[in-house]
Amino acid sequence: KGYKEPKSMVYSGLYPIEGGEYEKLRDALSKLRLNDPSFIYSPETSKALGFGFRCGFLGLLHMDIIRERLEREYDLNLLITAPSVAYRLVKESGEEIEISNPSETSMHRQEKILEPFVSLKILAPSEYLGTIMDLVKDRRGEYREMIYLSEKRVELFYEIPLAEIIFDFFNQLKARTRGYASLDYEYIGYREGDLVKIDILIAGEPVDALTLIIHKNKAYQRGKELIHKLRKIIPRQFYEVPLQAAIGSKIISRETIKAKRKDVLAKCYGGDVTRKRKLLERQKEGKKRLKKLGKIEIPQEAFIEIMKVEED
Amino acid sequence: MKIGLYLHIPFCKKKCAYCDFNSYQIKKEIQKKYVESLISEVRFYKKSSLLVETIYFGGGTPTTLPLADLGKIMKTIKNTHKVSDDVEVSIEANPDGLKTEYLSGLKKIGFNRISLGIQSFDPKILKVLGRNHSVENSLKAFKQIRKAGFDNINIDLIYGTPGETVESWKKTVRKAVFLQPTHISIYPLTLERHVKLKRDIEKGIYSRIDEDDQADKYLLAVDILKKSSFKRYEISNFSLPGYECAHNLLYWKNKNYLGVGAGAHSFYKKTRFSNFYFPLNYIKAVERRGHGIKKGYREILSESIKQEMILNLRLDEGVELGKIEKKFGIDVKKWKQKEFEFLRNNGLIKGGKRIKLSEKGVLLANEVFVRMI
Repeated sequence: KGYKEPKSMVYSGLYPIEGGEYEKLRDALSKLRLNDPSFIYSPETSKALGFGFRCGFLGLLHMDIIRERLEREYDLNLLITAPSVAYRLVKESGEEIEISNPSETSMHRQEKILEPFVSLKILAPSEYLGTIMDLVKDRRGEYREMIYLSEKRVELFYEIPLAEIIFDFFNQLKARTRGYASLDYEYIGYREGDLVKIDILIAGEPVDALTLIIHKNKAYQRGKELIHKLRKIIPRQFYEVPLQAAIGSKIISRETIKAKRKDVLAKCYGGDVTRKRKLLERQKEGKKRLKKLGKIEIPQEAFIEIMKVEED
Repeated sequence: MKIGLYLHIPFCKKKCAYCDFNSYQIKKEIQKKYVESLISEVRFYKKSSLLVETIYFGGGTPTTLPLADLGKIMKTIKNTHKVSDDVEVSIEANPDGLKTEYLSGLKKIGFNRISLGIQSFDPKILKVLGRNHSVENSLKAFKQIRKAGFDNINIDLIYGTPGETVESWKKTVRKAVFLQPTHISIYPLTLERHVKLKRDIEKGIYSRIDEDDQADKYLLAVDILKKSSFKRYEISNFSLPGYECAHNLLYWKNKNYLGVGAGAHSFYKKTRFSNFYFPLNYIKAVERRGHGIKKGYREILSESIKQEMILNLRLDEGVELGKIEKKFGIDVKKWKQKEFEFLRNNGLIKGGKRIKLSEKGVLLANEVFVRMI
């Protein structure tokens, strides 16, 4: 049959935190690919993040390894967007386009989105059957088969969207089964999904780096969580900042970051002049290190926090 | 050359829970030596071209010094320097232990302005702040100051202390106004470094400081004070017409002043310098060299302009761009065009030839200052 090039299952945007490190990142990526052909990448531009790369990995573990190598071996400070699977958009004409970046999509009603599916095998003690089935069902898994290997051990087979298992699935499974369950999966092709695209708008402007594609039933909850997280992380500006999650033109969640009302050095007498000047200087330097996120500017730490994926 | 003279008295009977000032509880023997050092340093700055227009005793608690010591210092100043006929001579005072005789004595020595650290008329708040006086002490002290013949009196107030309700603050401001001082300063409680109150808040004994609450309280106070004829002339300072603090105005108008004493700062002919911070180090320095200066730097032109801008902007009268242009030879309008436009569009500054902080801008003044530097 011959060698088949392993297919990327998970995509993520990789951006240098300091714009000046772009070349360094580019060189590092080319070196990595030389000894890891399963890792692919191509240049990408984000309105929110600037110049970076769209990278394809075999899975989350692969992504983690690459990220760690880039940070350690090549001494890079990276911003990584939330990993997503590669969706396929089927246009009215029947043409299929691969979407590795959720913000690339602009869906029309007549179009369909396909998502990659995997066949999932879980091996666990039978006492955890109930909790495992709950978990997989919650993740849109379709039950196929169950085989008792012995009185105490069972093998479960499901077909499940890849997108549902790349976040927090492994950890959840382990937590529910006290570490006894193990899983394995295999890519089985694309299927149509009831998927929608959520846009995140900050101060009325969509931020492409935060766009995500998700199943219709989970959209509301996820949108709410994201907006809530943003409101907690983004520091107050001196004007009100509305945060919105939208599907098309419909707003599904909204919160507002209240305007900061006080930022003043209340006392400035003879002995304060030099010291307070230094404070202002530091504030000025802090401003320089702010990164643009759509219309507003936020500190680097906040940026990283926003892009961080929930633990897996 | 007109200057202001500042003298620092770093002694206090007790350290307040929020105090970040250069003050200590120090033995009387050291206090005596300190006064001697002050006198030496006053003499060190003898220069016939100087004209002292304001004298300000700050601290610590300057009123912990015996009248005799204060008298000696004032005598030295008058004998060493040329002092203006209508010099403003201020002293900071604490409401605890202010006796009528002491106050009369102060007047005789030459003091014509008193700043009373009342902070709050709410006993609960005084406790949180760790003040060592009661509300009754404050009221009594103020009356005695009036009786002693002082007609230029300031009251210091603090807002935003943990546990302070809006009502409590309103009452405090109203009570202060009712006493009829000629000047009121209001400050949001700010806790720096490792003051006791900050540690207590971290331990959970008191609630955290709420900046939004402080913003509300500031606006409330401005409203009450305005309606009571107190005009704000600087971000935190209000007075009846003609009773602005001449000494502090020197700071905000970026004029020259000499600081004498531990940790005192000076600004003289474009050079900013400061003294040794600890009283013992200060005393040693004066013994050795006749002055207590530790370090200083000369302001380069760009620094001077920035400093002038951010200091002038603290005043309600704002900064006159034409004056800056003439004084420093820079087209400020062009240099800061983008920043002025941004700030104006966001409602933080107003005016054209004279730039002033808007009402919103006063509370967010740092957003303005940081763009001026």
